[in-house]
Amino acid sequence: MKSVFLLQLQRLRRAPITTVTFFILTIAFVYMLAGGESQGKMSILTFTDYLLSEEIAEEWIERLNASEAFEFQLVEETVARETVSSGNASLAVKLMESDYRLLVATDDPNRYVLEGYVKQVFSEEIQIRELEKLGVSHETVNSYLQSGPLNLDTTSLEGESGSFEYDEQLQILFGMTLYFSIYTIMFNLMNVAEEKRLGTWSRLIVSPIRKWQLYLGHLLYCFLIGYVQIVIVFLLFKYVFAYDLGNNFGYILLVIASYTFAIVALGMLIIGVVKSTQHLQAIIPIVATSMAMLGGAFWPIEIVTNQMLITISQGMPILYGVEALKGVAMYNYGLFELGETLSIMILFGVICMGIGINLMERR
Amino acid sequence: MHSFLKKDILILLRDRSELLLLLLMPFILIAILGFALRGLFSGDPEPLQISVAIVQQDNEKAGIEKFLSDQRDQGFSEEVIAELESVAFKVSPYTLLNQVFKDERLREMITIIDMNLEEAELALSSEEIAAILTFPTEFTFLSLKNMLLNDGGGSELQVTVNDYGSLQAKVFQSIIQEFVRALNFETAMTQALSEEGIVIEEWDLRDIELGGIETVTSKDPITSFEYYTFAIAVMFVLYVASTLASKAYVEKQQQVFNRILLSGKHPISYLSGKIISAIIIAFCQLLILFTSSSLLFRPFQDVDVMFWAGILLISAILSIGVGGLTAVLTALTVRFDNETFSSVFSGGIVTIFAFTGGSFIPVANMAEIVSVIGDWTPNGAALSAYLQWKQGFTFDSILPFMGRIIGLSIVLIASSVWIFPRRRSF
Repeated sequence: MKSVFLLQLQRLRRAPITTVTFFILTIAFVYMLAGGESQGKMSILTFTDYLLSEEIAEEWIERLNASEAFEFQLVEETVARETVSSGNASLAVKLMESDYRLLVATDDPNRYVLEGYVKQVFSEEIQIRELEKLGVSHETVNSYLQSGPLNLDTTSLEGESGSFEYDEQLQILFGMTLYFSIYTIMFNLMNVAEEKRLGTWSRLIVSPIRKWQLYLGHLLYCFLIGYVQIVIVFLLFKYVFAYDLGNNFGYILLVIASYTFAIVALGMLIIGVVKSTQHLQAIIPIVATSMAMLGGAFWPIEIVTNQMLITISQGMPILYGVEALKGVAMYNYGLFELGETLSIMILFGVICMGIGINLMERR
Repeated sequence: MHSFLKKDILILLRDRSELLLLLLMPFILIAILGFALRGLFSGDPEPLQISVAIVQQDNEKAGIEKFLSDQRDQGFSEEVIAELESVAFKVSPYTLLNQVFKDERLREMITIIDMNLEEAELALSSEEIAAILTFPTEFTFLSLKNMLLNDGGGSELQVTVNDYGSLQAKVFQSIIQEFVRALNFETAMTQALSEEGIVIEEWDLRDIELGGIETVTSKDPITSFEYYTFAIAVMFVLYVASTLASKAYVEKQQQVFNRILLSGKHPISYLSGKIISAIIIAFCQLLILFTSSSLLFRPFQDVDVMFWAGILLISAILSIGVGGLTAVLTALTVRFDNETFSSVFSGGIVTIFAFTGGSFIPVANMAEIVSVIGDWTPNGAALSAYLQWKQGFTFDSILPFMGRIIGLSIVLIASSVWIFPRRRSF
């Protein structure tokens, strides 16, 4: 077993390009999507009607930018129209003297939230203007506003308060890291298919080494490669980019281990079904991508409303991986809460591994 | 040249499973995405549906009664009390909020179920509902006291969500937030006015008509199926490049490539065979995808011949872009005798291209660099062109996107010719 394992490591040392590339891609991609300077604020393009003077437009922008969730930028009308129509932005806001319009090409869910906010800013300003005509100053209204009759308190079921924006960065970090690790694991597992093709596998079988040692050597190597990749990425984002991954890194390690096991086992199943490396090359990206889409690695699964798809998503290990990681990082899940998701992943792994090895042995 | 083309197409046709994957998978994904994210796009039959539970720990009537009897004890005259009573019934936050929920737009979107706390928490944790809205005890009493008499700290609405990722919860929370803010603002204004001694009977500015939606052209916004038909098509057509490049690897391994060179053919004719077959295969894939998807999901309603002509043209240009990518991948694979390029491309690069090009979600929310990269990827440029064409833009406006793809293809093909080995290597 040890020698099989070391052989794989030696292979990695000789031809590290694939593994290293995926490792770098993960970091670059997560950093590009989640990091950057935008820090959770969603930037919204605004433009003005030709009738509106720049000063008034700037005033509106300033009022609008008091928001924590949005950042409004004033651009030329042609730029805004171009960006929206080419699908690069889902909407833009057109400012008028005392009104606004939303410019929409393809719709997205944030529109409801944005619309509510812009409407509130505009209607408040217009009402204040009316009040000023009556001789009531803006400051008086603001001082009364401090002690308004209602407050809104938002909590999660576990009693944690948080915000809706915070979640997106972690979603990208977890989803993308788990997604890219599928490639690292499965492309490394392709060594098995390659060995079978070249005949090394048969020679190893007739050697004194036991069958289980042979499998375990390969699986352990793939597990370790995937595990180390995910852990390094998380450590990097925790310590270098200061992402808040919660206080319990030990549980995160546990979740990663179960997830990696499930993916290694899934890889085993795929190799059991698809024999040629050519086909594996084609099938792995497609399996990984569709699994990530269905399992909510690219966007939070909560935005999916279709019942059938929700049911399908329950069969995807990546769903449980992302959920469990979010649970630990955001809601301080303990072992008790994690128990169910962890055992589902392990069960998934055991089943896939069983079927996969059976298929490998059959033919 | 002709025989090279025949060879490449035959190889692909013989490999049924791979062909099926290239054609069937995008189809499944269009269905997945179209269904998964529908309702987020206007023009869809089903708008977003939000179920929420209301937990009422307060009794509105009793609250108002308590408020009034409190004032009686303070020694207000019956006349004042009667007036306060009529105002209190009108502005009681619970009543106002119910009016908000009855608003035409929200009525279709939000389903409200009355529950007690335990039921609601159970329903929330099993994700039957998106959020719980709790009216705490004394809610009406405390908020009225603040609103009408500016006395005390008011009360608090509680929204409980299962987790913060839920879109439904996010939208619902923002609706409540908006309501709270509007109510506070109005109260502040009334109080400010009365401080100045101005009494206004009906403050009706709240109902002023504001805002509205404009589309970029006179046509309707793009629906989710339309968006994802284009988005997934431009992504999957990229896999043609890696597939053909990995075939080149096999040909190198099996000495097919070396035998071709021994036959006296110029090495570049092998490469150009690959490029042309990539263009043809990519074009066929797009064509099949658009036809079958429009038959099955019926995304493109009321379009004319011009629309399809434009789609064909953009598809042809995109196919040339795929040809360019194939050229580089094939050249790298043959030159370095390594399969890594096509696996990194199909595994990592395609995903990055798809993301930055907006195949999964519109890129506007991401850092600027993302959309800049996206605009220069063949799939991103083609997606923009498709979307603009669908919205009824003129030919001139989609020309720059097509120019970009052509320019990119020229660069890619030129560099592939430079990379491609001229002599046999072992």
